[in-house]
Amino acid sequence: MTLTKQLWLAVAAIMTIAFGISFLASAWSAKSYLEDQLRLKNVDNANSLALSMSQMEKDPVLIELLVSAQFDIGHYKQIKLVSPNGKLMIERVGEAVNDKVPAWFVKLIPLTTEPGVAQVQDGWRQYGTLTVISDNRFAHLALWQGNLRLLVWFLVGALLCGVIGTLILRAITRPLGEVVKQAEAIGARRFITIEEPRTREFRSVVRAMNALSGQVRGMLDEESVRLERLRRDAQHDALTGLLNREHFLNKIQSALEGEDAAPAGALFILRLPDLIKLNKELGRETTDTLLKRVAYALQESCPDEPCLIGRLNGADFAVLAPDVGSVEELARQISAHTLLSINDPSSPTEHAVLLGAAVYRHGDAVSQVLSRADMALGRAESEGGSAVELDNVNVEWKPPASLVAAWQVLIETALNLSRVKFATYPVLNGQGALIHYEAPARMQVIESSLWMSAQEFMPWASRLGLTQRIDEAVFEHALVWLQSNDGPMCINVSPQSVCDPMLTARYYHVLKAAPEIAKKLWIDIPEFVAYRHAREFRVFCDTLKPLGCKIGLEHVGNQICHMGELYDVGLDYLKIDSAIIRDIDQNLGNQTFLRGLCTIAHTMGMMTIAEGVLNQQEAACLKDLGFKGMTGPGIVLG
Amino acid sequence: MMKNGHIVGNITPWKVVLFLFFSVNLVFASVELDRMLLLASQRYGDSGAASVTAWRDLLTSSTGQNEAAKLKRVNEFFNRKIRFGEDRDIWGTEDYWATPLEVLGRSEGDCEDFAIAKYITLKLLGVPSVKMRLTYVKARIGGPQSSITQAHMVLSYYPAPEDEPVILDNLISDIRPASRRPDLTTVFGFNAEGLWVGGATPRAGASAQRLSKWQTVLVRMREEGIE
Repeated sequence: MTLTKQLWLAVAAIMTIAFGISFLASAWSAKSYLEDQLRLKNVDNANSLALSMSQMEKDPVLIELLVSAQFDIGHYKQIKLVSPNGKLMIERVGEAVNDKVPAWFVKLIPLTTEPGVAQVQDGWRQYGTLTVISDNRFAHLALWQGNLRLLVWFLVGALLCGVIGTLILRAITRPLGEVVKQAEAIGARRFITIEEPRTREFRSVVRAMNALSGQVRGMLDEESVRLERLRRDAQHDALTGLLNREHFLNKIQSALEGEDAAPAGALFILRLPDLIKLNKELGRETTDTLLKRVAYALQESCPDEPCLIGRLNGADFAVLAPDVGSVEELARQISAHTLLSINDPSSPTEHAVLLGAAVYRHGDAVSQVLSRADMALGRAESEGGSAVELDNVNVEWKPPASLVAAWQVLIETALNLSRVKFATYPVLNGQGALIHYEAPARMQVIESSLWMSAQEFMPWASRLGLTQRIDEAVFEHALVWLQSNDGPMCINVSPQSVCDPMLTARYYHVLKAAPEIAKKLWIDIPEFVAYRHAREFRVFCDTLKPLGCKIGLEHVGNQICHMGELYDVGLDYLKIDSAIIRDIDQNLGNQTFLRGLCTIAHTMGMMTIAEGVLNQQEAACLKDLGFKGMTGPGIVLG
Repeated sequence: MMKNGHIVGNITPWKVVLFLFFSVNLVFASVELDRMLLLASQRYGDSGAASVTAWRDLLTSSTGQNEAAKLKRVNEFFNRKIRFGEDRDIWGTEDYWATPLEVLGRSEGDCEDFAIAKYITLKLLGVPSVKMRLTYVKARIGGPQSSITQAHMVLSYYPAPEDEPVILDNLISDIRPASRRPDLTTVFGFNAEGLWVGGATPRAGASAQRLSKWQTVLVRMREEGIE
């Protein structure tokens, strides 16, 4: 029961008691007052009538007229005259009708009045005894109305007390609402801090909870730093800080197979042929510095976010540039930058750099792409000096303007005709039970009736600014699907949609109207959105999470160092990038990292799900590491 | 009764209550003579106390007599003992109704004081109040031919309801039937029955303001020991 309700009950109880007491007090004091007054009236009227009669000629008709007149004009219940020897001479009795006052009230507060008695004389002789009883209807009526007024005043008073009490209570408990919200948030492992309220009792509670949140946050920050160190150890080259061979190859695989990877790109392999010689000439330390400079030069030459740079072995570096603008341009830049970095202008010797590049399309095998790049590198080597070899350069992979227009027509037509659906891949827990279905979008090409996968049209949709419309179409399709299916459904929401407040509001209204469906909806958001668009991301979560849907991050793994920042968002799950999951059963470094990640994620109330699990060995290892859910080609709903 | 000596010397409300309880056994069931005596001596000195003692003797000696004898004794007692005076001279106010104790204590009173004192005394002696009336009369003064009249009060006694009453008057010493009092013309008669009804005893104090003269006298009487 709320405090306000309790307050109203208390007011009602107190007012009822107060009314009861004052009713009794006033009724009884009024009763005795009225009885006194009625008695005096009886006595006075009896005496004055007797006095008049005593002075009159004792004509029976006249006497009777006098009694009648008194009775008819005044308010009497009874007037009677009895002779000295007890014979009734005249009597007038009024009918006791009491229409306006309920009988129970008359019964509850009876007015007992003594009759007025006076002697009538005829000269010296006694003529009779006069008895007068006044009507007490009017007294009862006055008493009744007085008590009704009292009741009305008490009701008004009770109402006023209740309203004022409610307002005061609201003012008092306003900070309490915030305190409760914070407590609930902490219960849901969202470690938020709030401003300390002015009320002293609440202030100490909030201070304690803020301190708790602060401690959790500090712990998470420390843990994220530690995790980041673990991740770097496992995935990066210790010397240059670039991705190590293992992780880089995993990344290439993701780029070639992932649902939302770019349709095409280029792989560059850079070799320093003189490394062993340099090592001998300059010594190990100088060579290390040189390698760091090369790594820096590579990062300089491809500042774009999606580029991946790795060190394959001692002298070989690699750059993966998905969706690159011009392969030749990038190749020129890379070789120019690296040459500049390893050659000292003042030194007479010039060190060579070999660069081979291969263009790939989504779906190509990793080994093929690697061997093509190796071949290009071999050709560059045979030609001597710094060389750039482009294999397969004539592949038409950069779309001409006409193709852009064609894609626009294709996507918009499909959207307008609602030719959007999704595939369903199960995400299972350790026991093989369904957690939810992943739902990558599919879109139909109208002319051919073929369904395209997300990685085919999403890059184009992104370029054409159509992602929000696709997200919306997928969302609507998911609602329809969830109406007839039980299994929870997980849809992807693109960064553009997360940052679109109008779309967020639309999601909110639709889900609010369908709370049952909201509970079955999971929403994947790319990891980087949580940090790069932190504000919009929080608004998105704060708006939709209260409706019951679950929100989590996908492709998690590259920005672990920021994970502490999520302490007050209250995310439901993390999906760990397949590049880290790949061959996890053989990668001890990544195992350590992921074990730590699972621990910290569980501390923050988040479920961890592995993406791209290929086989049972990986699955078993992941389960051991603390993963609660898995998806991928190796995971099939039994 | 054994404690009378103490009570006279040391009266507390508690002991008064105790005494009231025991006094049921007195001959005059509704009068506290000791209390009256005490009050009389406190207020009026020895002469007052003597009057009350005489009155007590009257009550004691008249018990057991017939009503006619009681009337005669009481009438004589007051007509002899009490001086007639106007209220203004005695009490300093117009038309003051005195209690028997006040009348006895000061040994003076006006016509209604006589009538009330006689009425109360007879009542204490067991004469039923239905037989008595305090009667307002117009009195002609100065012989049958006189035209001087005066407002006056007498006590009328009705041996039977329809009988002619006898008149106890302070102007003449003997009791005469009404027919032998041509100088008096009745105006109105009353007794305790009509004004002082049954159990509806007025609460002293709270309603003293609105009590009639008659009721005021009755209240004061009770305070002085006469129920």
